[in-house]
Amino acid sequence: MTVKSQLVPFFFPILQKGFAQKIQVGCSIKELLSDRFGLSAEYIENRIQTIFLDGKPVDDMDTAIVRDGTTLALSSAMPGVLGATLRRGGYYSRMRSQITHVEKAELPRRTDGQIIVKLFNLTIRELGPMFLERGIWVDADDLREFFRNQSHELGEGCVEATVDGSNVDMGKIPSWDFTAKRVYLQLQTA
Amino acid sequence: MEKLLRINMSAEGGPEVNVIPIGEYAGLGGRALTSAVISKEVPPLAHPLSEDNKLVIAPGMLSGSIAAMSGRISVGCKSPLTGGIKEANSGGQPSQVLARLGYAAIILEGKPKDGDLYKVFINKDGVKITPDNSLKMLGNYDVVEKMKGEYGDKIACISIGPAGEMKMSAASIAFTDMELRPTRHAGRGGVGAVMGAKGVKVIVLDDKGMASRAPKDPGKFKAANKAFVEGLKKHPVTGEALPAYGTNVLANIINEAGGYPTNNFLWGRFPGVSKISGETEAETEVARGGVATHGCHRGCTIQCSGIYMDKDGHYLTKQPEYETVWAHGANCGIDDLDAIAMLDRLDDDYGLDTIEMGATIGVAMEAGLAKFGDAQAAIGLIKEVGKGTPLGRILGNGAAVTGKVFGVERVPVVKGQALPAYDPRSVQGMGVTYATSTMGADHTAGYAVTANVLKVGGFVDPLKAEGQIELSRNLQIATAAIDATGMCLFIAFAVLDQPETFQALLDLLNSFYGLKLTGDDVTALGKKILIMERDFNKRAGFTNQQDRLPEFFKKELLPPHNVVFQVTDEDLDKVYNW
Repeated sequence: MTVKSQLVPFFFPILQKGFAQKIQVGCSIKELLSDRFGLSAEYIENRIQTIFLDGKPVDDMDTAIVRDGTTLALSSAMPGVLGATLRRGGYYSRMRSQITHVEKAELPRRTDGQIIVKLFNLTIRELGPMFLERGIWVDADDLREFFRNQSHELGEGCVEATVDGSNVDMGKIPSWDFTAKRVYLQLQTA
Repeated sequence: MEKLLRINMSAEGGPEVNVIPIGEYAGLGGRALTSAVISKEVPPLAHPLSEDNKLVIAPGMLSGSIAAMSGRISVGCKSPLTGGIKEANSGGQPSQVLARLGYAAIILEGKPKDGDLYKVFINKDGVKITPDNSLKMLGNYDVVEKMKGEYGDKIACISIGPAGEMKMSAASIAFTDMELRPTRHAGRGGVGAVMGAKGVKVIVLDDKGMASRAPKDPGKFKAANKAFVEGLKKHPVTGEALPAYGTNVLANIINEAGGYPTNNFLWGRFPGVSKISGETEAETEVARGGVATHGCHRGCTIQCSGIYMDKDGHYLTKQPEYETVWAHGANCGIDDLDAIAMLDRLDDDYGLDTIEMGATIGVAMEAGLAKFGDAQAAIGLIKEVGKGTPLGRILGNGAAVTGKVFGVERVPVVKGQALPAYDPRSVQGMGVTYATSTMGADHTAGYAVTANVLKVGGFVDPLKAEGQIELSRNLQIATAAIDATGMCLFIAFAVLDQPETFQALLDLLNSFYGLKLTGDDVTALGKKILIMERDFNKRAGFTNQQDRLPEFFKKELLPPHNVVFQVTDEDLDKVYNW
């Protein structure tokens, strides 16, 4: 899709719910963020303050391993005592020790795989446009519901839409019958 | 703030006003003052709605000055909900205005002998109390509109809605915001019912002709305030996340952590969270012409609030914050932001605690009064409360009463007060605070994450087994101290990470009062407050058996992590050993 830049934030709910990325797995979170996603060391260290691997808060990005099928959630610093508690390596991490991620299994082989990424808080604004431009895999039902709910905004802000290489009328997108379970969505700004 | 305004509602011939020097309570503000008065002057076995109870409304120590973030106000009484001491606090304009008028506290005493409803007007010339039965059963929005008509729009109001008049245990007290709307509430513990029992519908404050409170050392105070504001602005939470998305930015990560109570604490994850998250809420507000970055009082630099418009772009309510969105949302299986905003509006208008009401509706849904996820049914139940029907009277008295009436076993309360938006099985340290707080289950009781800066009770190794007990204790002490200053608790994040910002806070207090407080003194103040509160509760009949979570948190596994609350009773009993 090619959209006006002001329309990009309308896609952010998809990024909260989670989208798939096909990548080489079997690496640490730190490697994933820096080598696969291309984020700067400064951004990773200072900005990504809260990380969940399969729902468990992570304290050490170097030892936590990304496996095929993993769900990875990234967030900037969060408010509240709970925000402080869930923060990576934070002083209050003991308060959630029962759910903290602990790396127990052996290091898996590096291989092609797929993970789910969720973006929260400021990372949506800061990383969301990059992921949308590169392309994300989204559950077809979720995408259909999203298009239905945002049909008015999309009608006004979408410049061009293409499905499987063919231009389509934006008005038809909300009711489009995506045949696959997941849809690859790529966004460009006009 | 060298005087107290005592209003004896029992006096022969009508309410009697006494303005007296602050005396033995000098140097106290906010929660320190409310808890000192209640602890000393209210018989602990008094019925909360009786003439022996008192309602204390106290600005913080720095309220009325130009210090940033200093607009919190504390309300204290014996709670009709918990039966123990209560301090509920609120933002809004009244704290600054009351402090500028020179009052350290308003203390409502006694109980009117007639059935009249009163309004209180306070300005630089004095205090006037008049019966005004035309206000009976009006919602907070209508009350404020009437007061605007009578006194103009340069006022601030403290009021109760129908819930307070009906003396419901979930009744709140409303404080007007910068737009003169009754959107800020001292919500917890049924403080509105005590104001209703005193027969006072509204207190109108007008500080025309009054200047900001002057510090003892203006030069140092100005410098400290500048450093304090800089510290808040440069911190990623107080300078970025909270202004961008408000407190509801927490929804996604608490959900991801499996600690987002769903369907009356049945699960730790809510499938519809992305529809009601802070990120979605902010985008919705902006798209509809509302505001996603807004303060609750003048002098707020964090601006974690906002203004929520309906689908047609008309004002509906202020930005519902995290606890409200959770209570009326995930806890009831509701993923409709507009319905949640409507519930928030109704709560504000009737004068109800959003946490208590969300938890109560969750219990009612478990009892079969409505289906989880049925937003219109939830709205209907809140309207029952506003109308005061028999069902509404039950619901308006909170989750514990509702659970008892409808025979529900899974009732999420401690000391009769509903748990807020974090499941204690997922984040067990929070469960310690819920269980042991003097206030009943209260997320803000251990909110001020300053313990490692203050080193309250010595530096705690958070990796020790007993770390959760000590952390909760330290958090509760630090929070009590901050509640006394009138500072918004959200300053705590910047203070946690930036020692220079904590020093700036101390410098603000010291330069304002001509003191030489250290971190140890702040710790001592926090401990003193907790000791007073704990002592009152003990005299009111509380034992360590009230410092417990409901049994189901120890028995039922919480998906997705399948954990139960594991902190032992013996460990919980250590929290107040210092």
